[in-house]
Amino acid sequence: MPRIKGVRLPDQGAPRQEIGSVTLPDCVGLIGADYPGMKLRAVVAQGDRVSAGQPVLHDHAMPERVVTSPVSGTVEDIVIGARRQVARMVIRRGTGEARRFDPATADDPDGLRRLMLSSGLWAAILRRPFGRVPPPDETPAAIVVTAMATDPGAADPAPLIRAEAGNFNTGIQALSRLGGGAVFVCQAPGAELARIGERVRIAVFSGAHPAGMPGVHVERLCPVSAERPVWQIGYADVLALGQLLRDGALPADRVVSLCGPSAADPRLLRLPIGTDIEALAGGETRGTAYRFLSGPLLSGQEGRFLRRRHVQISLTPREAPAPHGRKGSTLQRAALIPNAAVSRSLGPDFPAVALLRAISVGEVEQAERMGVLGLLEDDMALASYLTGGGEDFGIRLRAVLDRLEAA
Amino acid sequence: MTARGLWSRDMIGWAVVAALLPPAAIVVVEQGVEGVLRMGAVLAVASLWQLLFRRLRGVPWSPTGAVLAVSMAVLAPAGLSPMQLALGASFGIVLADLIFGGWGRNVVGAAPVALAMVFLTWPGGAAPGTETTMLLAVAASGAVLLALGILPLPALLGGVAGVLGAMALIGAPLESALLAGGAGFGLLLLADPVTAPTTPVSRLVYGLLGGTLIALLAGSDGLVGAERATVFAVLLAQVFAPTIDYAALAAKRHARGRRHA
Repeated sequence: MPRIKGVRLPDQGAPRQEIGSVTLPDCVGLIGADYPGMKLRAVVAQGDRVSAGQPVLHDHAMPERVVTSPVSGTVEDIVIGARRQVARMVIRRGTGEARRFDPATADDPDGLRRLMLSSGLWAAILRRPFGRVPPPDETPAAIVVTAMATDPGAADPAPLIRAEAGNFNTGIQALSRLGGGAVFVCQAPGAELARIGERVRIAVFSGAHPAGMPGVHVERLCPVSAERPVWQIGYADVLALGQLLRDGALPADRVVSLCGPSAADPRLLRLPIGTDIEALAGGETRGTAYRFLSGPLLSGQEGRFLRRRHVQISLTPREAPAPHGRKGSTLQRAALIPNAAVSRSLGPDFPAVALLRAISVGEVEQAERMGVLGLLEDDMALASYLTGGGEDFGIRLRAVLDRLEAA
Repeated sequence: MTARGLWSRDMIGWAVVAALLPPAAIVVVEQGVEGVLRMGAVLAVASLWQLLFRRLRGVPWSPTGAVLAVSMAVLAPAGLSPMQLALGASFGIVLADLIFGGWGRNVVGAAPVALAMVFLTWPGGAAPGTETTMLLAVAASGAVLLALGILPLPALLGGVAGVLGAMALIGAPLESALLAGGAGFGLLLLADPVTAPTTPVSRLVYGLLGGTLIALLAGSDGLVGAERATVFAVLLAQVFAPTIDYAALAAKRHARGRRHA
């Protein structure tokens, strides 16, 4: 069991680990940026009625990769962004039956892939290197399931998974039938969350953040290279896959942690994918000057809607903007000063300081030698936070990854 | 960016400045007005250069000026005028630090470079009063910086082990280490997190190398009055730091490749 010496972080506004009630906002939004590697085109038009589970977007290059509507309702808005790709689709909740799937077709690996593709669950997977939705025919070297969370304010996944143990186990066993390497269930110490099988393994990680980050798990369990892609998927989508295979329908919602210093009542909520957090936050905050983030405080993104892979909403006070002229925009980007916390920020297996320096100055070859292919933006959030936010290492990482991907 | 942590560059800078207060206090107590003048002259001229480079090149603030002031007051030979120290400090901070883009981008420390220049230009005299009191002050500084996670522990441990081991090997009097305020301060400069390598193993090797060099260059007389040896040993070790790091990272890569297969 790897014990990760992480960094203890302030944990203001941690949620009660029980599911509370909430009035669902009227709209959900699908964000194009949540489906990296897919050239999204709309398959429905504004004003169309859609049912939950119905494809509303698909990939122009590989049309079998689709994005399905999380709710039944009416398409209210489609925003087209760069390269005529859909940047955002807003769906207003209405009434209507959810789409049914036939789980019997998933008995063989090909059928399983088809079911995951047509239900939109395929788009929940990210592949490393580069963090893209994998092509439909790819065989991964391993699948890493994140069934733990060390981010401040996150919901504890273990009780949520135990409450739906059957779904989780079905989902895990299904992933192990996709072919390729082992399925690693990464969890905190405690009873095993899934049945161990020939291709299902439990990996226990303990310690403080970043011990629960998929980047740490992947590098420890099955280091990534260009020829050996590794898939990652969150526990919420494994539960959804299990429910799809057992009941023939996608779950209407997932458990999301509402947390942060500005949350009036930090707790867990059942929310659909793409929940309108702007509308939700209106009645949930303390104070007037707040920001709402989809995702954890460190790596979350500001925006109106809950993102596809996020199971956390962070409400945080809005800082007063720096007085004019004080920030010194003419100053160079300040260099990284190594310290103990920063050297632990990427987990035990990456040479954090050397790697951060390399990506900070765009040393692509050096960064590649240090294993940069195994990293994604979210993994860098802790380093950016610890160094005082002067430099966003996530952006620097993506610049390096883009150059490696283009090469 | 959504949140800001504690260990920003400015925070570390101020922590370094605060940790330098005990040695600075000893300098004031032991050297009196002259000590204040030495530190003041160096700090003033270093700040001037920092201001200039901030204006012209946008190099952000750093504690290098304060580090230089205390280092030169502790390690530079007695009898040098504040003017001479200021000249050495200018050389060190500009050539070792500011033209590389400031603290964090430098390859070798400004203080060892400035002191090496002083020692080469005006050879002679021992540093004024570097004794057990100074060693205690240096130990306090080191303890604070270690506790804050700013100084890398392996480099410091390696340094101490290297010094004592090499002294025992060449038969230098080990008890001289108890009077070695200057060499102790040199170990802090050696363990500078910016110029030290980045992995635990390479930091240990680097510390051992630096410590061994201090003892070897100081020779069989021991560490009393070995400021000159300390400065050149630290500088030499810092020059080798990237090579040591390169080797350690290559070994890590090799191990990753094996795990991979």
